[in-house]
Amino acid sequence: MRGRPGLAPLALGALLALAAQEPVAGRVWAGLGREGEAFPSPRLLDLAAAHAALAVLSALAAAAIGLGLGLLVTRRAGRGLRPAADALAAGAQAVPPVVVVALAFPVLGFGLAPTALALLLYCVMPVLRGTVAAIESVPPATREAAEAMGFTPLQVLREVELPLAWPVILAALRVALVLAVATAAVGALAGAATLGTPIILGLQNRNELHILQGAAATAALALLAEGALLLLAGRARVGRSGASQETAG
Amino acid sequence: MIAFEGVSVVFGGVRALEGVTLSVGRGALCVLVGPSGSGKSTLLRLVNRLVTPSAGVVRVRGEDVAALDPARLRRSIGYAIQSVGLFPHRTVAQNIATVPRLLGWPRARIAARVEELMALLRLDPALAGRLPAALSGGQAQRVGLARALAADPDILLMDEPFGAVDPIIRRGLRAELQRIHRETGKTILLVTHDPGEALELATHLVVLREGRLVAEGAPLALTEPPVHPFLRALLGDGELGLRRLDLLPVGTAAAGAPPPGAPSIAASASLRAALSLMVETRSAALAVLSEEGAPLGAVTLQAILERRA
Ligand SMILES: Nc1ncnc2c1ncn2[C@@H]1O[C@H](COP(=O)(O)OP(=O)(O)O)[C@@H](O)[C@H]1O
Ligand SMILES: [Mg+2]
Repeated sequence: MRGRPGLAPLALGALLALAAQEPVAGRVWAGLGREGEAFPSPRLLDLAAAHAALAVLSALAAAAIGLGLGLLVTRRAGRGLRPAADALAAGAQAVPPVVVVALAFPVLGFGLAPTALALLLYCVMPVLRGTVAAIESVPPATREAAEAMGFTPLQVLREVELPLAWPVILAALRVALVLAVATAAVGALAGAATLGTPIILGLQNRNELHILQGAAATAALALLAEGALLLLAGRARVGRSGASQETAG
Repeated sequence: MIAFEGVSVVFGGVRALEGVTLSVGRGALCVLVGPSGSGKSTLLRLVNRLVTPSAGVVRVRGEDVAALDPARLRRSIGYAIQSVGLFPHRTVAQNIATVPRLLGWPRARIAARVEELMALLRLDPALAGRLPAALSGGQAQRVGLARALAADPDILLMDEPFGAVDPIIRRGLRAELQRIHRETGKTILLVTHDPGEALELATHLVVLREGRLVAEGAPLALTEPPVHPFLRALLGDGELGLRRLDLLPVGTAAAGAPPPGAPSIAASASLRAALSLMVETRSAALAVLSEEGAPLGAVTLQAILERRA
């Protein structure tokens, strides 16, 4: 699979997505001699779209906050904020999303808002940690040389720190998105339309097939997100090294 | 060209420099020596404002650096360090082109300059498109040197620039530096912990100890007996006398006529070489010859012992 990371999760995700569909799931279920009606595909697709939108928006917000904080605490002026940011992120991830949903819905009401908040809090830490670790892995001599050559602080960030840190930051962003996609199902507890909905329905109506379909669809979405981002990262890498070849002479 | 006026530097509680006053003239090759932690790097980094003095003034080309824009000041001063600090994501050519690019030179001029510098530092042109990870230690230091020289700065700061290379390449780079200095008249501030290198390269030698400037002057003047025990230990390695003779050409001690059959030595050879030849040939006098082979007189053991700066 060298050179094409991401194909395996994409393939597995597609397979699971297919398996979650009403005709496939229903037939396999009946073939196993089990009873129960399958969750209808059109609704499953609607829920998947809502689930994906919720997860992507939450992950984007977490990425913006995590990246912003990470860059801030690695600046000379922001170094003092580092312990506070670490504590914040660790605390945010220590509280399970279910608890956040439960605690937040009296204030934020049912549905999307408490779920989005829970996902955001849950996903900030991997981005923050990843960003800080990535920036700190830039060799001090390299940073000093950049400064001594006359790069402005902004140029040091843009031309030295970010290019060197980017692969690790991208990996952290991928983790955050996959985490958000996988965790968004808990939103169903607060009444948000997600792929957790069939699971909740299945639990209420003792329909195991609904539970399996919801779980398979959630896993499929997480794998597709992982695969897509791996593919994107691979393509970005190829693009960058191509550009540097061109300007080399 | 560079002047330190009563400069002190404090890091947290540590006094790195204390009341240093030093003036480095245009075209000098000023070498800083001193034990580890004596403040050599700090003194160097004051010049391009990587370090800010807690007291005193640093002047570059007559201007107080505190009043200058740091980025523009740094682009006008070459900087090479032992750890090199090449940009790992940029090719050799891009690394060398760093400052010219920051200064907005046109592409063609940058490309020509990179080519010129790679030739000057004897770097294989095939390396231009490689990333620094593919370089040997010696190659990386030469690329670092090329990067420091790229925009033709009139001031060059070098902090143990040949630290990580083996002695043979080191000698080559040292000769290269001396040639660049001779040919371009740049003002160079160099830190080294190699006393032989310091005495050989310096037009002006500055000795630091625990953040204070304890001696400065021409190498010959600083090694004129009697030498302070601290300097003797720092510069000598038990052979300060020989290192001093290294600095003196035979021609400066030639007088009288050599005894018949005396071994001969070139006037441009060092007195150290003359002493060595005396020991090898068991003769207390040598015939001194000019480059063309014409007799210039004799150098004797007694003359070597009595030679003053
Ligand atoms: N950035 C810094 N922060 C704190 N202490 C420093 C820093 N740079 C240098 N020092 C201290 O200042 C003193 C002089 O350091 P330096 O100039 O690097 O010495 P040298 O180059 O002669 O070995 C040392 O005691 C060193 O530990
Ligand atoms: Mg040092």
